[in-house]
Amino acid sequence: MALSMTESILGLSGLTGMRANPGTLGTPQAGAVSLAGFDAVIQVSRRLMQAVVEQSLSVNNVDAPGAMAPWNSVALPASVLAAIPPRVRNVLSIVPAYVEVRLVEPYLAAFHWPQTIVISPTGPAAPHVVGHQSPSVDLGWQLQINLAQPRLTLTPGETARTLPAGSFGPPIPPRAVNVAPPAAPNTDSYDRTTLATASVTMPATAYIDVNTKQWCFGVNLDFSATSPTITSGDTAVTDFLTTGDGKNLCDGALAPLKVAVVQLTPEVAPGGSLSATAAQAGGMTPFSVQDILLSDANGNPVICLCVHLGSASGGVARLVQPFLNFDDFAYAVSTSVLSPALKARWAIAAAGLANVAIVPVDIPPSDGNAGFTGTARLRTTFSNKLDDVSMRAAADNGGDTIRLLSSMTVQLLQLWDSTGKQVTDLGPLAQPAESPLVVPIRLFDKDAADGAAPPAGVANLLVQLLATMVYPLLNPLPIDPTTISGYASAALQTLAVRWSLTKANIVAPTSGVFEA
Amino acid sequence: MSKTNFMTAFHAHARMPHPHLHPVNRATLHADSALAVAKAKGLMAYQQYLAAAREVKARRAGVSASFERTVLAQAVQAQGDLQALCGAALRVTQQINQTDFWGQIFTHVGATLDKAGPQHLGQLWSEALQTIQKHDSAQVFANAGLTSDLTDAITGVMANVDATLAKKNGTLTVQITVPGNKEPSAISLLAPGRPVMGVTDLLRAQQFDSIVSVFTNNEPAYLDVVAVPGVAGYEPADLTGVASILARQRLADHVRKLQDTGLATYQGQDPLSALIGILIVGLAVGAVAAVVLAGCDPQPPPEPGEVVGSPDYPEAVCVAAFILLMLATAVLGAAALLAGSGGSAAAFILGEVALGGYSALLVDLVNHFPRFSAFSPTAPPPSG
Repeated sequence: MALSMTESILGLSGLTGMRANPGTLGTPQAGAVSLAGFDAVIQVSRRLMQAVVEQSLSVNNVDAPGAMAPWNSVALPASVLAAIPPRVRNVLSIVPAYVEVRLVEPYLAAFHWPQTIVISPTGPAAPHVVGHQSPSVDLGWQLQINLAQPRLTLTPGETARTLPAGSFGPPIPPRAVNVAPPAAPNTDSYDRTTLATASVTMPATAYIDVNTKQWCFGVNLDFSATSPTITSGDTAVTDFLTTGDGKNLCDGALAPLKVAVVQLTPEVAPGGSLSATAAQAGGMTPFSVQDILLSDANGNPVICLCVHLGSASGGVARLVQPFLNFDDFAYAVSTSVLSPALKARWAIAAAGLANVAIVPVDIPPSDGNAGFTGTARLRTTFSNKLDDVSMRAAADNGGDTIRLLSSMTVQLLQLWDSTGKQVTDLGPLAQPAESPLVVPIRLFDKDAADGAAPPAGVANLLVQLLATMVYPLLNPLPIDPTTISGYASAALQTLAVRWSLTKANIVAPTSGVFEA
Repeated sequence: MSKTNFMTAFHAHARMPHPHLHPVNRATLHADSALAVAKAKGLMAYQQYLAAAREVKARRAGVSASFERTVLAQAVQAQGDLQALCGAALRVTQQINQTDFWGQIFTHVGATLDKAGPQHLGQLWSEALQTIQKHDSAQVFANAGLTSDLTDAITGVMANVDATLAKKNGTLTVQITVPGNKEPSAISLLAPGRPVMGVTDLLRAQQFDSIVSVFTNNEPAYLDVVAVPGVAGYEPADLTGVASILARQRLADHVRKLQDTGLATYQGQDPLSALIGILIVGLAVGAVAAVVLAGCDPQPPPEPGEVVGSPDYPEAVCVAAFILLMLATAVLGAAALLAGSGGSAAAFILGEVALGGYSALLVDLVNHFPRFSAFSPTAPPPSG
């Protein structure tokens, strides 16, 4: 069913699919969304992967891996010694110093995938097999050969003595100096003088990691078998690395990276952060995930994770098109995934949620008593069970509605008549009653008038539900809220979301190749 | 099923003075009825056009994008027609709700069913049609909009309505048998003015006027119909509201399907199913019947309890209109059952939730993204 629907969409270029923004046609160039028979498709830009890799390296404490040895214990080639500035050389005999090999400024240099889908203006071409047995990514670094000197830290009550006027060199240390041990170089603990640099390319195997217990998945990098390629036009580098000490230091710098699990893509969690218990209680069907590499219209790599639930197998990878549309993250998800995700989130966020409100009511006449318009104090207690998630077509052009159906218990606590006198005999109205609870969500209807702010508890529930739809990731990333766009299609029962990272703090890769 | 003629039983066992629609604004009643009929005709014409377009697309094994856009434009027009039809029917019902009419009609139809037994809705339509087509009645109904082309279309739709109006345990009941279900499904029809049974009953009773406002003013509100078990029964206003929301949703589904996947070549693949035809008939017939009934009332209106004859129309016309209004209510009840969850004994409530606020929440959400991480098992409340 899903396949035939997909083909039908592709055949209708003028009317096709969901739209990036209401009112625009979803041509492939504008980023038309198709699940191609999968239950969810996640697309990640190179920029986002760069941010995730940097974040993951930092979490693993390998964002600047290095190794060092006392400088006078290493036989440095003359070309390296010549690179030491005279003012530093003058104080080497009085200040501890180390020779350090350090890797800095990681960047995603190249992507190698067994099958690369090349998108032409007329649609997907045949897969281009590039001959790699398993997906891999080349991570580029700048290799530095540094002279590192411990940065001085003062004990309380002491001040640093300064050199006499006209002298050169670092401040003279006070009597009590704390020096970080060389085995654990810390970025902030040393003053570094870079003697030589080189470029290092480290291939890593990319593998999909599916965490069934917590209902999340992502692509990680394995550097365990990495063999770096070092290129430099500086003879100091080649001279140094040919020495035994230089090679050992280089191996030492790489060692922590080889045992680290580095994320390439964010960890995708459609239900948000779920404990194994919550995932089990929600009866989450396990994922199977397929990764493919696409290129966008500008030739930039796009990693695409195509998700099936359970034993489903209706997806056709060659039909998946890039729909990032120059954003950093795109998420197309069918209600088959969205529904259990929202139900699991609802079970957590709505547990024990109740709200008390005062509302006007019309009491009809009965038993000879005249009716009146009064005021009621009602308590609504939310069920922690979300019964249904569906997408309903909207009559206007503001995007379809994601309708959540649950139930609530309504209880009349107090009733006042039109004069403000409290009605004490509430009769059958006093009995708590079950009532359906419909929560319609139109994420992208910017024209809708903002209603009154919901009570804090309800707002918290809504925020968590929105997070499940817009940000199904476990990595905290800085995103630009003004870039969030998307569309919900009742006809396809699919939600599509896109957003970009904030421009600040994210360093776009300035070099590297994409193998297509 | 009873073989007793309903009209005969009605005259024999429940002879009554003409029902009174008082107070009503006859001018707006006429205007709304005329609007409802005009839009119903437009919608039925669209259904015929849609069937023809499907046939052409299937025969040609594909059509141009221009063809698809033309169908889409017609569908959007039909969406506007339906909005107007529902608004008119709801306003007519809103006026009738403020009269004692429903109590009269339920009492007298109940008395007739006691004698005549359960009545198939198709049979009721056939009997009413005989009166409508009589020489001295036809012009009255034609003036109210019930022209021969519309009666033909209604006859076609009613042929697909396999529902029965009966009286069970003192309550009027609409019953249908859904294919695949052993037990028939039924809902009770209730006259307005009954005591409130509980707090949700109280809240539900207030929704009708909001729905009228939404349809009349095209307000951006979300309306929904949700199947829930255990609801005692429905007033005519409930059913008109349910029908309006269901029809609007079906047509919105249809338009979205045209936009996203194009014209289906088989009717079964489209949300614009036979159900919407039934809903249109129920809404339009009720509006026509109401305006004819208004003409049956003398002017000035009679005093309460005063027995008067019809000033303008033959009695048969007024009785036929009376039955038509009951029929329209029953048809809407049957449609509600058909749209229920698998035809089970489901009932409906009207749901209305104001839209808006989500864009603000989105920004709020983003501001808290750093805290939505693997390291926090539950999300924090929004800022404030």
